[in-house]
Amino acid sequence: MSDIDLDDRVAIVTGGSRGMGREMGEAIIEAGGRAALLTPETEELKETVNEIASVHGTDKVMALPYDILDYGQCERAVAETLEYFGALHGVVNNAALGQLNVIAPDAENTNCKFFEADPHRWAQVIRVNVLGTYHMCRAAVDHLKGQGWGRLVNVTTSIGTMQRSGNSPYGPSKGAIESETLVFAADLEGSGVTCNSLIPGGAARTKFVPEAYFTSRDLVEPSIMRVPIVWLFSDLSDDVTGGRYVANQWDRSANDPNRAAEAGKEPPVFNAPPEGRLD
Amino acid sequence: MVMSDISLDGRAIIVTGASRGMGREMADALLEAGARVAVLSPEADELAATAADLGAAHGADRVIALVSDITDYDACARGVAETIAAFGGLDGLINHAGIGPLHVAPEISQAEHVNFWIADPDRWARLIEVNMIGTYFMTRAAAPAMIERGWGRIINVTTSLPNYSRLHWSPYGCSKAGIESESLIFAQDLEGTGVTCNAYFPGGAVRTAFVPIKMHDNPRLLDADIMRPPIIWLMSEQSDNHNGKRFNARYWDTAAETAEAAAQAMTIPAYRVPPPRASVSEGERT
Repeated sequence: MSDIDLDDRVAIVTGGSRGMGREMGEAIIEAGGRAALLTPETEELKETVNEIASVHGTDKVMALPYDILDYGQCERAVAETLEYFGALHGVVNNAALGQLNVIAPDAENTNCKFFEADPHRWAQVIRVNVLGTYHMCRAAVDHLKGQGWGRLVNVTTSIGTMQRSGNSPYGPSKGAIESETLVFAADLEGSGVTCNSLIPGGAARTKFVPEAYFTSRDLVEPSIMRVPIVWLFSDLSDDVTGGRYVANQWDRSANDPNRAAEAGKEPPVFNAPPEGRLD
Repeated sequence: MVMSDISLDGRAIIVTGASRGMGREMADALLEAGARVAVLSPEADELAATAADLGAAHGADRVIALVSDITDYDACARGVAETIAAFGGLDGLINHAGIGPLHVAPEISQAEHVNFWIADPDRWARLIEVNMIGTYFMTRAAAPAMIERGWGRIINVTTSLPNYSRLHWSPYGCSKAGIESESLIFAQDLEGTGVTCNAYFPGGAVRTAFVPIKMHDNPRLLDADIMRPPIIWLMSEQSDNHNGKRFNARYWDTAAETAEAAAQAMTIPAYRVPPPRASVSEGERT
């Protein structure tokens, strides 16, 4: 896959029991790192951790059966990771509630308008996605700053999702996380800890989409996230922070991993004010 | 004055966060232009005083007070029902209520913006609840009545673009970035209903409780009344053709014709236009 050696680095991957989170956890382990997989879905987590441990060893993977909505549980997750592995180098904020599986589970009406949505479900998507991402960054950042090296990677979505009909609240939650990425990166400037966004580049073949899509749509495979997450957790990305990376735009034919990553880089989702205006 | 050309002629409008600051200014301006206004805030005493002042100036039958917490969906629904009962309908909603950037600093340094790891997690969460979820809850509660009548206005108050990426601006900037996305999606979801949704912001720091008090004599600060002239136009039929747009009060020229002033105040959206979707959209067409 790549020559990058993550040299025992430890990542917490939220939403790590399946889909893109599991792929990223495995990729980090295969590149020589270690992964603490976090999700409140304890049964699936146990299975995933057992499967990964049977291939790579119990010293490479651990289970964090916690809920990112509860800040106290996020603190406990960080403490347990440090206790088990003796190290922590970053967090992949992959856990999220989706649009189609939470807001519009009716496959006949996938374009659920904001005024048709259940308000309490809507609020829960914002909480898990926006607050959960913050909670994990907040819980891990003191340790990362203390060692002068760290990675915060927030998984977001395509820009169109932040502005097209039928994507509220998932799109707004990810728009807010894009702002978190940029502000956290500014707050962390000079600390050795970076914060970047990573997106697959299209709807992925995961539980976020109805199974009917698996055959009818052109979906991105969740494994698309593997190469980018290894690069983001390596020293090669030391100089990038506040960036936005698109996994399916990675140049997989490039010999130089930095050049491969450059192809995946996208400008920030937010416009800058027009010249001479305070907008 | 050019603005008095527009008559809002009895329109019924809810303004959240209306007990003081920009919310009170907008409520007062709308009343002056002939609208009826429901002022909403959880701060009961200040709200009662504001409603009494506005009622004395514009007629007690044109103002109602809604003591509501917008993070409680049932309270939002009740507020909408009370407004419709009092005014016979609902024509507009101004989502102005929000918690400011200073709120997340620990007690000891309440006058400053702080790094995200200094912020108190409970306060950080509360700001997201009020600003993002509160804006949605009010819009969710109010939109169906306006859709049913085939006309309505939803205005979300946001902030300037640099605040979405600025040092120390979590979670305030993040919450407003989320609301910009809400505004764009709400606008598209509403397309064809006669109800519009636009974002509106002052265009700079305003002399209110959102800004540290020691900065209030800074002459570069804007006054809260800058929000008055554009909001009347935004609530009128003259803005019928604008949906999913973004307006900056700073550039509204009160000496200009209304259409010209509106054109100057209108600016670019908060989010970049999406690039064309190559392979994925191909797949979606099959």
